[in-house]
Amino acid sequence: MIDRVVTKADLLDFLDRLAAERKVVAPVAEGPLVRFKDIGRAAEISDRYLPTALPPSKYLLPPKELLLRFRTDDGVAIEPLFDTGEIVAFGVRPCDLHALALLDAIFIDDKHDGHYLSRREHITLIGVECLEPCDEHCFCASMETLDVPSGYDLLLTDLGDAYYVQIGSSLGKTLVESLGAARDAVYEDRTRLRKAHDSRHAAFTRRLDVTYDQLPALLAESSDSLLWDVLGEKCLSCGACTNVCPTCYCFDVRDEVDLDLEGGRRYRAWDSCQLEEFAMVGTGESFRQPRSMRVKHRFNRKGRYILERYGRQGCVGCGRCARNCLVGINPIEVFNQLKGQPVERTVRT
Amino acid sequence: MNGPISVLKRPRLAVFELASCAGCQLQILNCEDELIDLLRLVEFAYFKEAMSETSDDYDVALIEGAVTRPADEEKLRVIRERASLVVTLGSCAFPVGIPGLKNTHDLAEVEKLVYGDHAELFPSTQAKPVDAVIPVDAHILGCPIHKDEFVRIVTALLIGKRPPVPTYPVCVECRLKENVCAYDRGLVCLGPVTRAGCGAICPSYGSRCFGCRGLADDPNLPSAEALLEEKGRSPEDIRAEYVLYNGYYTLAEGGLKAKVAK
Repeated sequence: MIDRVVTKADLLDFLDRLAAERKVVAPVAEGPLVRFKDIGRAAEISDRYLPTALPPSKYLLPPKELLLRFRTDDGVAIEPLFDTGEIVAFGVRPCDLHALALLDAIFIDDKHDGHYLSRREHITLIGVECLEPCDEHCFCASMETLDVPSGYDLLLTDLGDAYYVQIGSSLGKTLVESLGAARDAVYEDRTRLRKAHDSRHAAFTRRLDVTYDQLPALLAESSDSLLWDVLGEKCLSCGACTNVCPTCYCFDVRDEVDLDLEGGRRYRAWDSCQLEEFAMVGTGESFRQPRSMRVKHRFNRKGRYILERYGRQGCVGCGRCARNCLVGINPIEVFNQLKGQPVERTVRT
Repeated sequence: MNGPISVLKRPRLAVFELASCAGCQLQILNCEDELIDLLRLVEFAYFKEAMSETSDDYDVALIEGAVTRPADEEKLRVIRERASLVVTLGSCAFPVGIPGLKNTHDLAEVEKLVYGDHAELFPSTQAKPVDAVIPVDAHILGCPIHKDEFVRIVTALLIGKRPPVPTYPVCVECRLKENVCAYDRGLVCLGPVTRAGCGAICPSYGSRCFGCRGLADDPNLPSAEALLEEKGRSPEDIRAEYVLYNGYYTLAEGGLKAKVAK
């Protein structure tokens, strides 16, 4: 599909029109945070690079999602619920596009989850590339999530006075056609895009002392590292890291009963491997009771298990967990410490 | 304790008040949209805040307030005898709440301060949570309790389910609200160690967590205390943080750590 170019003024007009006729969500800055929110006008959108407080996965896997209603007064009647509300998500950053592609692989390709699929089919993803790193916590260059080959409907790159628009799907093509003012990209535009991409290299330095595909081996040989004990003593087990993580998707399923005791609702809610109850079984034992084991498990999920199972990065380097950790547990430091310490010196004696 | 109540029976509820402000009882009356449905499932045998009829025939005792007098302990033992289920209402009843501030002072001094020359007519004790006197089956937490949680817990008890109270800390719910962390607003906050279930209501409205719901199941107290120290709080400040709502177990032998281990 031929790429397009749209001036910033025309894009804002287009977003204004779009927001008037359907639900558009985008990053909105308030105080120190940026949050994905419903917008009424394009002027509300923030162009700050800082990742949103919660990732846009909250629209595909809401923190508390109603799955079904049931009644028992006339036999058992179960009504599964699927959300079909249309959403246009504008301003999704490359790290989050990678994370959503991972969730697609898990919930659609692997689990065939109807609730997720329904939401996914009704969301349009308009990505905006990052040309500068957001802050000292991001390490997307190391995780190789800065470039986005697919997983978007439209992908915008800031060329100064205009946006370069790459089309990633037929939905994106339809959308860009409704954006009347866009013109076809020509050779000069592609040159400007390449320059914008090339200009990132100096700013986006690699922050990890390993490549992301070396993390599984590093984590496997670090299983007995004393670092896990050190982190376990610090960790508050408050679940902040997993709640803000764009690739975390674990949930718990619970029922709530109506006041007439004849029916109720089943919902799922985000859960966290950092919480004591997560790995607790019916008889009360927890398989990961020590905090150090829970922390180790999280880093293995992020750096190793997901990559091994799905072939995609389980951590996209957005840095949200580091920004939100009250006791300063930071994946850049953790991975680099594991790499820096000779294994024999970190093994428990 | 005793088994859960069958849904077939319409259990009789009694609401008792010890040392408290009665705000949690008012929260029951604030369940305006649910009261009619709730009254199809249960009936109130005793609820001084809401009705003049009284009865000693009840199945479930809901107890608001802290134990502060010898007579309270006696009253609780009678209630425990009569009720199949004993449920606390609010912070005063558990973990002890504001009445627990009394415990930071000499008992005789407090009695004199409040009752003056007639102190000997009003024998009192250190403030205690209800579960320090009698076994308790469930806690409805908060200062005050939240009406939605009250309805959820009562409904769960009616069908014999474990009350749906989170075991994890307030931070979990606060992050989901996308709040600016109180620590990033220059405050200190007990969210990392306090039991969730309130929907992080205080931090969501610009305040911070004071710990009214008591400790989470698995708080990392040494790390939380190190964090408060790092934010410039002295050991006395930190003790004051915990004493505000968790005074009884903070000041009890072994402190909060003993409470967690228990």
